[in-house]
Amino acid sequence: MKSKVQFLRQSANTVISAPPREFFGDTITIGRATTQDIFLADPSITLEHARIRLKAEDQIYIESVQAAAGIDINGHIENKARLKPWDKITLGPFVITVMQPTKGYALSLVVEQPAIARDKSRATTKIRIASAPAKPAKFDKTIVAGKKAADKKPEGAAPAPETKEVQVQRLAMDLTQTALSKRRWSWWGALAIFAIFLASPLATMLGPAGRALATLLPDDTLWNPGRISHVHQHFGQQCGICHTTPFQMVKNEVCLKCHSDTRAHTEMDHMPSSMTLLENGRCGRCHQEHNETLSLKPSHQNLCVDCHGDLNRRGDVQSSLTDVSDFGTDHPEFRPTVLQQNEWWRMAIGDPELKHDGGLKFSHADHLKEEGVATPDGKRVLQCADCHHPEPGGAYMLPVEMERDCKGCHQLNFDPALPDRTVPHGDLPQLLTFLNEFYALQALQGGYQSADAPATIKRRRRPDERISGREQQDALRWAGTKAQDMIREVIETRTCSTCHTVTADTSSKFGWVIDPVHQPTRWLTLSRFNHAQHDTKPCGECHAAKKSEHAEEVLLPGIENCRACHGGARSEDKYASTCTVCHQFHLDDMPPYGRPAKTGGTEAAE
Amino acid sequence: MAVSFVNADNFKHAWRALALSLLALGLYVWHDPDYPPNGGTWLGYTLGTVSFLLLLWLMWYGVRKRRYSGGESQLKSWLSAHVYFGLALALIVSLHSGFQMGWNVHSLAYVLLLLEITSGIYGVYAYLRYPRAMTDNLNNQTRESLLESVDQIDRECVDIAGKLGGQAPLAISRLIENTQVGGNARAQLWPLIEKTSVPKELSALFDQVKAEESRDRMAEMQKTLAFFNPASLTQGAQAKTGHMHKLMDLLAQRKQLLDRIRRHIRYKAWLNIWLYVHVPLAFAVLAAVIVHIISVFFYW
Repeated sequence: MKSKVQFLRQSANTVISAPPREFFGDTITIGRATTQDIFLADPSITLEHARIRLKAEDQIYIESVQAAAGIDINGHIENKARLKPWDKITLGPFVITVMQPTKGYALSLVVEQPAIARDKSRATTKIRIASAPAKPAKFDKTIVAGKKAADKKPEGAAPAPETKEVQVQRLAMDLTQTALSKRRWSWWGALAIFAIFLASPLATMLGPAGRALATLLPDDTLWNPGRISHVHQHFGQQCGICHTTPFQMVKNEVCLKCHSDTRAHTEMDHMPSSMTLLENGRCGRCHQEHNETLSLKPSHQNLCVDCHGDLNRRGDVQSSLTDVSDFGTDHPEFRPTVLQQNEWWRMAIGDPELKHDGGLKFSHADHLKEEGVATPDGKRVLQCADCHHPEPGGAYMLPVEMERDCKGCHQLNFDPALPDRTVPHGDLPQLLTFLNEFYALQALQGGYQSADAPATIKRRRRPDERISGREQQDALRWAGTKAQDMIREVIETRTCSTCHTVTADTSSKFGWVIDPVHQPTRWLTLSRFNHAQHDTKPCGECHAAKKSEHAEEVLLPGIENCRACHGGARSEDKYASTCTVCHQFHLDDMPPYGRPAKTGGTEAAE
Repeated sequence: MAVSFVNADNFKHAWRALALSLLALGLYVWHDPDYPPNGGTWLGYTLGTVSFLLLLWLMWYGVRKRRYSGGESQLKSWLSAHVYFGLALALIVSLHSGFQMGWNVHSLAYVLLLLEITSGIYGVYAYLRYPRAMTDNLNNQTRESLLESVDQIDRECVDIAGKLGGQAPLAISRLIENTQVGGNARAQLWPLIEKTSVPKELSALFDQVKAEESRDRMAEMQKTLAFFNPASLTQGAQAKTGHMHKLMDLLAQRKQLLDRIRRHIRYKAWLNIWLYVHVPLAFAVLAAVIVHIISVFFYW
């Protein structure tokens, strides 16, 4: 069967007509897909919208294929309908009119296409309630010839007594039409943050008025990047105490106001400019606040190793110090400071030359004998703590003192006839005077029961008895001789020389020279040690005192002893120890920190 | 596989962002500062600077996407970079912070930035999910054409309701009047969907029609027995039943269409809602970061 389809397109005021197309067969497809017989390009039409079936000359049907809401035929929605001449099929903006077929054709259609695809008035078309079926809102002025007939055809069009226009409420269908606003929210959010976190803290810094404001408004505590260390907590939230000048790093003067006793790391006459940090670098470079840490003491190995790793290869420094990079793997043997030939030396432990001329004669082994030593109270086994006492705080040991630590046994009595009397210690002229006066007194008052004394001196006298001048002279002469003998005996053979090195020297002021005693409390002067922190270990584990026969032996343990427990900075099976576990940056015997550095060599030349 | 912002330029930007992240992570692990890692070390300053520049560049996307000179494929590439470097920024900024948190503007900037990136991640999800769902839902139609179809059905319903008489015209006109499509943001995101296509008043009417029909049948039988001509009576009942069924069909179709329209609006709302978080948050982050930088150097 043959069908004819005429396409009409409305332009501004004219109608453009294309030559009619003919179709053969009994199906005509309608849709948006280009494969469709009647191709209608409008998004409201599905790809395969509907089809027309020609069963016989007078049995022509239209049926929906993909049409969502059925097909509008003469204003009625149908899924399938039989077509008669003058029927009007509305598909989106298109209107297809069924014409009276001309001769030779079973079906004749006119497809009208509007000038403007979208017509706004369509969206707001109202529905008349209780009125005749609304006309398809499109193309009131249709140009199709049989239009009027077509219009009149549908239903009887009974006029409604009352009409009311209703329609589905089309509210905002896009978020851009709602109260939401990206722009407004962006402005408000950003301005609020500026106001609360910037303007307000700044305002509270403006003088007394600002401080009053600070009780109401957020202040600069909002800027605090982290808790300050415990030692500075008492500054509270007063940022300005340290941060004196805006946009400038905290200055050393501020730190040194309190930490005025801080010392430099080194004292070099001509500091290479790369090393000025050692004397007056910014404190905050190493001591970083606001890091939630308890301590401000940096412990990082690189702080030291950066220089000390290759101190002598740097070229700009001449140093006697050995290079060191890690305690566990690359640290020289300890070098205690000892006295030899009246000069102080640093000598490594294990060096066969290592000894300390401390001026004392002493054997630790004898004193620590397991069977004990003879004391005035009988035999006793001595312990280290009987003679060695820690200083307050317990870090180092106090020097051994004769009066406190030795005299319990070494009582310095000298005269068998008067065993309770002892000579004074530590002062040679005092000793000489004491013995002279002592024997003069014995001679003059008599009753001195000694085998070698003359009878007049041995004899006890009555309290009011007077002796003659001659007797007095004899007695004093005896006393002088006795005192001289006793002095020599005490100093040279019996008492002093037990522990001290005594040399008779007639040219000296008092006739003898007693070597001074040097007992260092710190042998390793470049590091620090704390005995109290190691008090779980018995003394003998580090100090081999029980085998030491001579006082000049240095009883310090070597580095391997420490390494039994202390590892390097990255040690995992031992106490990971960085440099600052034992060493300090600010050294006690250096000049105050923060003085202007003497840099460069040019000044020296001038 | 179609080229999208996910795989634009053969994942070029993904690889670059990954490389940047790994570099930052590697440096962070390798770096061993004196104090707990923080923004004040050289690495901290470096990561902070990189983060700030990244933030400015990411925000520049908002400007870039309004410029059409670069072409769409380039814009796709930009979006791809925006997504991947945005994700990398979350890591780099975290490393910059050294994971030190507090009640201060610095942590505020960090938290806002993480929220910003989280909203962006949702955006990626939305862009991958909703456009496809919307296409499937519209099924080659537009929202307007669906709405027009609803209007068409409504007209037809009014017509049939008129024929049905009784409460029907009023019920239908109320149904139409009370049908809302869209609304405020809440209504768009969580639309109310009617459970049934037939309003209550109508279902009562339908029951009545059914009752009438069966009554008519009884009457018809009686009348047949009485040799009356039953034609006119039965015709009336049959017509009413026919209208009723037609109306029910139309209402079901109508509800289906409205559901699709509302689903479309819902998808579109969910596709776009995150931008109302993402964009204002971006400016809040920028403000907080500026305050962060000023305050850090104010009290250096």
